[in-house]
Amino acid sequence: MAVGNIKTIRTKIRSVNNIKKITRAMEMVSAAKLRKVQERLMAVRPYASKIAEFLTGLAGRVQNLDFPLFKTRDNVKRIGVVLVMGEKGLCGSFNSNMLRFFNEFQKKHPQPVDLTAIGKKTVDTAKKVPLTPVDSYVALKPDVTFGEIQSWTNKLIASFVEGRVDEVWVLYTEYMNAVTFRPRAVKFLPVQTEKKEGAKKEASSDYEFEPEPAKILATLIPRYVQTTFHRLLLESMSSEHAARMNAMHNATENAKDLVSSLTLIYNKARQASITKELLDIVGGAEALKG
Amino acid sequence: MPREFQFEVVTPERTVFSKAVTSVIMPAYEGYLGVMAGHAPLLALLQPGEIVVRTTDGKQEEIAVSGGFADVGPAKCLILADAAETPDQLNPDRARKALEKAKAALAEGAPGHSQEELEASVKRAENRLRFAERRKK
Repeated sequence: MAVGNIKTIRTKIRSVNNIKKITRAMEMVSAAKLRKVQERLMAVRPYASKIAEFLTGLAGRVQNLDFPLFKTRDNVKRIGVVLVMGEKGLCGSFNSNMLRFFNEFQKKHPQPVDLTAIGKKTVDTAKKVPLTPVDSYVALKPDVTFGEIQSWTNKLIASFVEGRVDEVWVLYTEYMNAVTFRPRAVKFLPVQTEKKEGAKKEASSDYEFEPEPAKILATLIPRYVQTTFHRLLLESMSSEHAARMNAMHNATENAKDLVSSLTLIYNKARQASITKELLDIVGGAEALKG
Repeated sequence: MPREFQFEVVTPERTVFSKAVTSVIMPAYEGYLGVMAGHAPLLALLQPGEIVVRTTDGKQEEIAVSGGFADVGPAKCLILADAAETPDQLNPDRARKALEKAKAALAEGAPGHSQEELEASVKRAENRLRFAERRKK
């Protein structure tokens, strides 16, 4: 009995050790991936904020904003939602947080949804909700090419302009740092220009344009939309890797604790069996003597 | 003594240039455009070409740019470029290969790209190559 017990404890320790090795390796891999994506994110952020500034300034100066992408529709009948989740599981509450967030979002926006699923987990989740995504993209890479981003945003823009949806929202996880990230929803289309009223007041007539503002806007808007979309994807990817890194770090720590408590039990059991064997031998010798 | 102003070139990949300068010449939509401190506010589209910058210490620096936007103010000039390279980042051989590829795509036609897009990509590649070769001499 005792020997069998010792043996099972020993195999347990060995398997926990193996798990520890795997989680440690996954932590390292996630850390490396996070560094790569984060670099891209940090590079895109200044450009994205500058281009937003640029757009706000320009939009405030153009008197009649006659661009379909700027027009807010009063009667929102159907909304497009881009749901960005991870590619894989094993990243703590990253995916489930997003799903909870999506459910809350739907309570606030009860309109029927055209879902665009990004990430393999989103596709899997959509099946359970159940929703059939209009479009889905999986296997995101940190170096998503510009062409890919362009083709995705073009589709979103087309469905907005053609009136299939009246608003487009992006649900993604914002990356703050390696331990904090939170789900967020942004209204992607129509294009939001912040502080539009304030900018209009200072609409200065002495600003020169080359060529005319409308032409600049026509080039700027798609660029702005693409950059924003790119940034949101990178935010989500960074968050996913950070979440997985944390989850795997915790798993490794737990495995360490488990191994040490199992080792203690193992040593106790071993000691107990040795003591018992000694008692048997001594008892046997005593019996022979008598 | 020419007055200086802040000049920045930002691309989606990184900030290429950020220094105090005295003059900038950039390829604007209707032709090359010179900017010095105190310039009237201007928003301009850029075409593929090169930016020539004179820094405060009198040195001249060049940056190849493949289109973008410029926001010029009296004290600051910001360029949002689609892509931008300084001479040490460009390799003539690579630029030549890229040009050949772009030309081939234009000749054969590539799915998912319009004619203008392909022509623009050839233009960008030509600009890079010209820039890279001139710098080598």
